Parts: sequence; C-alpha cells; structure tokens
Amino acid sequence: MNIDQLVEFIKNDLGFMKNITHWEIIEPRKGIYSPFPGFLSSKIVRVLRNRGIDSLFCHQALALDIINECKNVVIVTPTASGKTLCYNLPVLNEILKNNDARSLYLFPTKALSQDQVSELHEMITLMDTDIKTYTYDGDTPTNARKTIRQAGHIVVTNPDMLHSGIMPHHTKWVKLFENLKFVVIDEMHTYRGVFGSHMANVIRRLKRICNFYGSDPTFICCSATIANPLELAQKIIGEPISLIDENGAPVGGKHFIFYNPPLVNRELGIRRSSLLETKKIAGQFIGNGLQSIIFARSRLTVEVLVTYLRELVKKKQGDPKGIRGYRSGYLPTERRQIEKGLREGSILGVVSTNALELGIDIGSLETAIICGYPGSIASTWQQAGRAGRRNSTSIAILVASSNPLDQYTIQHPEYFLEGSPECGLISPNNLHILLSHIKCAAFELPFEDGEQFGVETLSEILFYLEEHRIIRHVGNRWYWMAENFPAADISLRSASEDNFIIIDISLPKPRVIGEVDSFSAPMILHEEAIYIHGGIQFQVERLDFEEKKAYVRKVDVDYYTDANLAVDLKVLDVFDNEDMENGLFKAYGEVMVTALVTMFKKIKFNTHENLGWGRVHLPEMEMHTSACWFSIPEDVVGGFSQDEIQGGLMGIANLMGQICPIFLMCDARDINVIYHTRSPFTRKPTLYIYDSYPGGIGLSDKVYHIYNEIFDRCREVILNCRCIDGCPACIGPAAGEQGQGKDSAFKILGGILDDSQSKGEAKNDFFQLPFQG
Amino acid sequence: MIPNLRERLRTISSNYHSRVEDIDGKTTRPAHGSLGGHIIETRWGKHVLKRTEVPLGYSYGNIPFERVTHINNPVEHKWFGLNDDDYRYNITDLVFLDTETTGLSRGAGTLAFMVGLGYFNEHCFVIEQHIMRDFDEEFSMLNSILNTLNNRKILISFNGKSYDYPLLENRMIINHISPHINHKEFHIDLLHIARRIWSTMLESCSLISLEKNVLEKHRAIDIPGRDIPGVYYKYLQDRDEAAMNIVIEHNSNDILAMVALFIKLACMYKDHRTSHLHCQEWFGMAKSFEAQGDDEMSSYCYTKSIETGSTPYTGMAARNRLAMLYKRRGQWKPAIKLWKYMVDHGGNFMITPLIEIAKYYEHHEQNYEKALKYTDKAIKRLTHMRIARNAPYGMDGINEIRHRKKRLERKRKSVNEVF
Repeated sequence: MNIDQLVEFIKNDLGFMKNITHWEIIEPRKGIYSPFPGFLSSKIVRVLRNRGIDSLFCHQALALDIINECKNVVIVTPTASGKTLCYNLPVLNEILKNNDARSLYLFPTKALSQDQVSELHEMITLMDTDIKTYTYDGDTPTNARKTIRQAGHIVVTNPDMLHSGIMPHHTKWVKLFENLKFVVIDEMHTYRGVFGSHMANVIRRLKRICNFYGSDPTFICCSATIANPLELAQKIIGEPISLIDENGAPVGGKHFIFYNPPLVNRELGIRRSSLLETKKIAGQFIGNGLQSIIFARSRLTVEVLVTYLRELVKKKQGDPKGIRGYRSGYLPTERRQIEKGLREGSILGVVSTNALELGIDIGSLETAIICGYPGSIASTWQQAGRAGRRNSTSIAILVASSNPLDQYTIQHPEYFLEGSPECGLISPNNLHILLSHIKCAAFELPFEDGEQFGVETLSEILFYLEEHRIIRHVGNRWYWMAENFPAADISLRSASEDNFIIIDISLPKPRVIGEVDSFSAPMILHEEAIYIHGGIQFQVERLDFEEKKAYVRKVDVDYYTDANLAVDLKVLDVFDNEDMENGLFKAYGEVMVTALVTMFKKIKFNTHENLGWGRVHLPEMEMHTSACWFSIPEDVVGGFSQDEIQGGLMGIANLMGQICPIFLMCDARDINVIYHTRSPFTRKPTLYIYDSYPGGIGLSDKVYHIYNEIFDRCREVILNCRCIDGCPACIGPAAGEQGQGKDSAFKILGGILDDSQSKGEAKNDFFQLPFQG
Repeated sequence: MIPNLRERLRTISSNYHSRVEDIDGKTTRPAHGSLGGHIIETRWGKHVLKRTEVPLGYSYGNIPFERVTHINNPVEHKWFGLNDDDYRYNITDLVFLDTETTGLSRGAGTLAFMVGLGYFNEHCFVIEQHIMRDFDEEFSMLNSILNTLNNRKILISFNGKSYDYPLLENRMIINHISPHINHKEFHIDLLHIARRIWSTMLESCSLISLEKNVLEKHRAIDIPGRDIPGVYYKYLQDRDEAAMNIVIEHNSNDILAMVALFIKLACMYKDHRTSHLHCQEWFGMAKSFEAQGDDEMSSYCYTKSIETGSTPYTGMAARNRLAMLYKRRGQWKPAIKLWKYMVDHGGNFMITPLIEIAKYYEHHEQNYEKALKYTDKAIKRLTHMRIARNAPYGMDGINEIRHRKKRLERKRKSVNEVF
C-alpha cells in the first residue's frame, strides 16, 4: 500500500476513525523562487546548477541580500526548506572573494556538526576549491587541532567547546578571530532556558574577543518555528537582527491526524495506553512497507516500543533489524549507522526520543507517529515535519496519552493548529549564569573600566569579585587573579555534564554500550534496574556512583523497571511576597530542590501489571533554582482531615504541573509543582512551583503574577471532568485515592481563588471530556 | 542598580565566603618594595629587575660551569634536537628561560609574574629576573625581556616548548606586543632530552628529581611549584616580600640547574668514548641516537649498555633494540646471535626473538623446517603464558603466529613435493 491507499484504508476503518478527534489536511504548496543574486560567485552558481538547482527559494534570496549588506539575520522556516544554503552560500561566497575570511558554525550537538561538515565537503569538492572545513569538538584528535586553528576557513563546533575549548585559548586562534566574518547559529530554538541563557553570555564573550582582534562578524541564525524568534535572536546575539519567516520552499501535502485512544473505564477516566495504540498503528504502517518514525517521550518508552515492533515484524517473517531505537545514550557510531540506514532505506522503522527532532539528516520518511504530546507546539511540528518532505504526501499522527495536557490538545486541535507556538525564554542576566561568564571573560581578557557586558551593573559585580579576590583592579583594568581555569567548572547545560557510562560485563571482554547523564542515572541505572538498549535487556548488577559507572549483564525477562523519584524543597531566600485579601499568602524566591530515588517497580510487558518492587539506596541530587509558593489559609482547610488536605494538594499539584505550560508557553518538563501539607517554612499547607533549571529562568516568576488565572483554569478542569474521584485527565488517580481528593482539591481552589479577578463564567466545555465510542 | 544585588551575589556565591574573612575594605595595595632588585623605569612603564652574576668558577652540584667552554659544537646539534647543522654558536648565544606563573592551567588568563633569563658573557653567567609587582607592570616586563631573548640565538628551557614559551607568546598577543619572540627553530627543551635518557632509570624526570639524582645537588630551601601562584596572590594582598624571596631563589636555582643539566648532557655526548655511565643511561643515549638516525653511535651505546648491564630488563631491552637495528641494516649474523641469546636467557616471555628468527629462516634461508621449529616454540610459549598469567595476550598476536605456521607448513609441503 502506498500513502494514498493507506489513507483510504484508514478512512474506511470505523474502529480507527471513531477515535479520531480531528483530521487536518495540509494542502501541498508550490515554491516561490528568485533568481541567483548577481553577487553570487559563478563557481557557486555552476555547482548549484549541476545539482539541479536553477534558482533560489525567495527566503534564501532574501537572506543572501541581507547578509550581503553585512546585516544580522534570523531565518525561521520549516524543516527541509533549504535553510543551510542560507548560510553556506554567503560563507562560501565570501571565502572565494577573500581567502583569509573565516566563519564559525555553532550547532547544539556534535551529531549535527558532523552532518553539516559532510554536506559542506560535498559542495566544496564540487566547487573544486581549497576551502578547509573542520569540526572542532571533544572528539577532534589532538594532532589535528593545530591545523584547524591555523588553517580552517570554516570551523564547526558547539557552544560548549567554544566556551571551554576555544575562547579561553583565543591566542591560539588569532587567525580565526582576526578574520571572523560570519557566526552561524543553527537550531537557535534549542537555546532556551538555561542553555540559552548561557549561550547569550558565550556570545557576549565571543564578541568581546572579536572586538579585541578587530573583527565584527555578522550573525546568521536559523530556527524552527517559535513564537518569538526575533526577540530570542536579539537576546542571544545582543544586537539588532532582521527576521525572515516567509517560506518559499514547496511543501508536500500532509494528513495530520489527532488520535485519542478509547476510554476503557469511564468512571476512572482511563483510556487505552497510548503506547499500545502507537504499537498497533506503527505495526500497520510498517507492515505495509511505509518507512516510519515513531517519537516517544522517554528513553524507556523508546526501548519498549522497539521490543514490541520487532516482535511484530518477526511474526510477519520480516527482519527485526529493520526496526531501530535512537536516543541519547547510544554511542555516536551506532547513531551514524542508524541515520545512514534511514537514508538508504534499509531501516524501515525508527523509534526515537526528541533526539531526532533536530535537523539530523535522515532523508524523508513517509509517516510520523507521535506517541504522547511532546509538550510543546514547536516540538510537535518539528516531529511531524520528519515525515514527508517537499514533493510527497505524508501522514503524521498524534496519539494522546491520558494526561491533561495531551487530552486538552487532542480535543482542542485549534489550540495546536492555530495557536502560537512556544516562546523561547532566556534570561542571560540570571545572576548565577552571568557571574559565571564574567569570570570566564575576565580570564580571557581583563575588563577595562567602563566596559559593558550586557548589564549596567558590571562594575558592581566586578567590585564584588574583587573583594573575594577572584579579580584584581589595577591601572583601570580588572584582572583574573585565581589559580583555577573558570570555564572548566561551568557547564552550559543544566545538569552536570559528567555522564555515567554503562558497561556490559556479560561478554568476556567488558564493553561500554552507552551513557546516561548524571541527573537521570539514579532513575535508570540503580541496581537491579532493567536497562534496555537497542531492544536488548540488561540488568544493572552494580552501580559505582563515585566512578560514574554502571555494570550491566544481559538478561531475558518479561518485565521492565520504573523508578520512583521523591522530590523535596527548601526555601533559601524570599525576593518578594504578598498577603492576598482572601488570606492566601504568595511568595517568590530561591529554593533548593532535592531529588531522591527511593524505590522501583517491576512492570510486566504488555499487561503492565506490577510484579513487585525494590529499594534504591543512592545519594540525593540537589538543584538550586527559583520558585514561587502559595500557602493555603487555615480557614480554607479548617474542617479537613489530614488525608483530605493531602489528597487535595496532591491533586492540585498534579493538575497545575500540566496546566502551567499552557500559560507559560513552555515545555511541561521546564516546570514542576510539589506540595507540603505543612510547610516547615510557612507552617501552612503550601504549593510550590519551581523552574526545573538551576538558577531558574523566570517561569515561576511569571506564575507568581498570573497565579489566579491558573488556579481558575484548574478549577474548571475539575468541575468539568466527569470521573468520580480523580483520573489521569484531571487530578490524577493517585490523588483520588487519598480520601476525597477531587472534592478537596475543588474546595481548596474555590477557597483561594480571587473571583473578582477571574473571568467569571466557566468556559464550560473548554476542558470537558467528551465521551466517545 | 538592581536592589540588593550584593545580597543576591552573596547567596549564589557562598562557596567563596571562607576567603573573605581577613579582608578589610580596599584590597588593591600598591607595592613599594623592590624584592631585592631594582625598580626600573622603561619606555613601557616600570617593573622590578633583579640581576645576579655567577662567576664561571661556580659549580652547581657536580657540574663546574667552566666546562661550558669545552662544549664542542656544532656536532651535538642533533643531540639537542636542533635543525641547523651548519650554525656554529658561541656560548654567549645561549639564553636560558624559566617563568613563574599565576596558575598552572594553560589558557589566555594565566600570566607569568616572573620571567627568569640566564646567559653567559665573557667572564660570568648572568641571571636577570624580571618581576611584575602587579598586573599593570606586565607590559613593561614583557617588552623588557624581548631584547635579551631575541639577541641570543638559542633558547634553552625545561618543558618550555609546551609551557613557558607558549605562555609568553599568549601574553605578548594579549598585550599587543608584536613582533615578539623568535626562538621557535632554536629551542632546546632539556626535558625532552632528559626524558629519553633517564625516564627508565628515575621515577620522575622533573627538574628537582634530575638535580638530585643526576647533578647530585640538594636545595636547602625550596617551594613546590604548585604553591607558587598562591604565594604571588598573597604578595599582591599583603606585600610581604619574605615568601616571594623564596620564589625568586627557586627561579634562579631552576635556571642554574638548567645550565648544569645542559653542560652535563653536552659532556655526555662529547665524552661518550670515555664516560662511565649507568647501563640505563647508555640505553637512553642509544635510544636518542637511534631517534636521530645515528646508527653508529646508537649501536655503540647499546653495546655499552649490554656490557655494563646490571639490570636484566635493560640488558634484554638493549639486545632487542640492537638486534632490530642490525636487522634494519641487513647485518643478520650479529642480529641472530642476539636473538638466540635472548631466547636462551630471556625466559619464557621472549616471543619476539623467536618470531624474528623464524622470519629470518623463512625469508632469507628458505629453511622452512627451522622456521617452523621456532614458530612452534613461539606458539608453545605464548599458550603457556596465556594460561600462566590468565590474561589475554592479544588474540591478534597469536592468530598471526598461527597464520605464519600454516603458511610455513604449506611452503614446506610444496618444497617436499618438488623434491
């Protein structure tokens, strides 16, 4: 069956159709073209023509014009719209004109850098010129580094390497910094939150160094669709920038299908598992020979789905190797192999986390199945965009899980289809981050009196550091005066960069099979955990926490493990607080969040029944971040039993964790909500909302101000949910089990809501769960 | 100004609170003293220069400095890793360099706060120590060392190729001093040469270790290198010169030790026919000569090492390398003799000589019978060793030998068929 036949087939499958809440047809669109601009070298034009490109898309031509005037530009167009040419052409054109010109390409991951270099090499080979392009990252051999520093026309790297491997050694890169014409920042939308706030400071440092060597590079940024590309780009590069967001590339037709698994228990609001539904749909697509990508939200789901799909393929006498998993933790060689298999068609199905969401070249697939709402509109479009490129029809299916955000999206496709995608929020002046980079910058070059570094308070911070003997002020300059190398202690990504490595000891010669970041390690690699890698099960025999090594052995069992994370929070400092008229107390400040894995459950494949549990003894992980909190006045919970308070707070916390992202335009993972039935800090029942990033990125600050709208929306969801006492689509089943959770949550919300502020009448069916089937 | 910025800074940087206690307000205190040297005013500012003259009659450890005049150049150019064979230098063309730095990491922000230079003139050895008493004196200091450095053709350092030299280069770039130092081609890094000779004999090839074990010198007062940045930072705060004087002495001692080591190495080369060296030193020298392509000197030193051999390891290692050297030159007889000696006296771990002998019989004598005999022996020893040590020797190794055996058996068979 081809795509069109499959579409017809699905339309006639009533059992399938009754679960579909919306079927969006995106019409194919023709491209809008512009001729090659006159300033583009004939050498380049010839190569493009030989590759069958006779003109540019209008957005490419516009980008070239703007860049030709040495103006910064940010290009926001969908996947496969030829964004890379927007920067490769001006860069190559410049080097052909001036052989000394240098460019720096920044990609968020190493995999993307390697992709980029192979594409550039191809073009340069066709052009038959001597333009040297190199990746420079942690994997670059030492003996090649000197050549790259001296001779690389185009240096492709990532922000982490720029931060700790290039800028602190800028004197070795004189040629690059003296002649830097272009800085390319691709996948700009990934620079959000802490990573983005670091990135903005890395660019501040870069510009300082360029200024020292007398260069003034033009910035070319590319981004997937987000709500505020211009604002984000301006914040990252700290300069005015022009926006191009009109796509001139042709778009193939697409069927975007919203699929809600059927209810299996109305009272409890339980639907069929999105994972099992995804398995069914993917099995059908792959069984019909359609190359498919399946996106899952967690590494665990990826592996479970790979296992299921391989079984299905095996039953049909297919080759189980045609199904692969793809996620962080796979080693680079394995990933390259999978990407190649996808391009060549030897791999029919790949199950991935959002790792494949970014612009890694895997060719065009025919269908994309998204298991669980990815948490943001931008991500969903990126994932759906993996199916179907310019000239062919494709299918994308979103399979909803039971949680409120998924249910909201699946039943209100207009929120998704018409709504604005998320904002890329960063706060480069987050003091924690800013201070780190001021130290790095002082190490790189002494600050001059009156110099700026993004903030007006620089001199005050420098004075502070001087008092602590980190910096010394003498002769109008501020010198670094500590023995250590500041960049070494500062990681641009939120958690520690030291990954845990996973060693398979079932072989006579132990072998490293993967790695996991240190924040996730206690969840995934605790002793007795079943670690699934490439569909093969391993059991963790020993976790050496100090050495960051997990020793695993191959096993064949019919269950997987899932660890419980216990989170607690301590208030460190209060920035602002207010007693509301109705007795609610709200505050905003800094907190220390601790996370501890205490136990794990064994869950049987397919039936998902609980087979037992075990304890985990591992150290706590700590995070310093910002939070806001709300203390419930005594009279609101006056007559409540302890269980009722607990159930109510747990329910509100669960629900808020799902609802906040709608208001904050952020990913559900960016924010967390926990509660204390009696807070040691406020001595009252308290709800805490904190940013899941060290230092915080301003999300909880926003909640502090718009809390009433959020509480109001939460109350509506509860009011309109027809389950009896808590279901996954409202306060969660566990909260319901704690005596009268749904009822107490509703009463508490009623007690703390300021109705004079809320919009009054409930938007009745807005959050209502329609019963189907 | 952000309200309570200081408060917030304090909460997020609690880790350096311990360092604050002894601070009383303003911390930048200008220096008045001259650290036992003179404050010099230059075109570029000012800094401290301490100049010391050391008479030629001076000895550092067991090395009298006047032996420097006996150095017979340019024959030892290669020995010191220099390229230019024709250039004949005078003793006054040498300049010794050692820096003391504000940190141990490499990176643009690590400074040399003291640059020690040493050179010979007609009647003595001069040590010039340029010291910046604060960061604003760096410019003057760096500019001032350029003359002394660039007027002398050959730079001598200890680990300077990867540390002192690039660090000074960094600082010149950051201070916009250009053109700067020009010693790239004529740079003798004594660490590299010392390592080749003494790395098997000494636990550490640090200057201090070489000084103690090779030059027989013991410093009365010294400071470990890793403590030096801390001393400087303390001096910036309290301007107490006592601890800094120890660093100054450390620096001048390092320079003197380099001179002594240089003379020692030059003499080892010059007097190799008459010297009495340890077998490991002979071995190290032989390796150095071999690396330079001087087979004659190299085989002489290997032989010396074997003759003076008191440690079995060095004896066997020297025989192994000497045999390979003979093999490379096609001198099969002495090579075979050495291999056979190794097979008989070297114990069960001697696999390489067996293979080499087998190769010889296979390819040069076409004596497959003998070649097989030695191959079998190698397989037997290897198997024995694998069991005995319960460690994989490397499957590639044994597979290669088995492959050789098969080939030999095939060749033997075809030879037998012909006859």
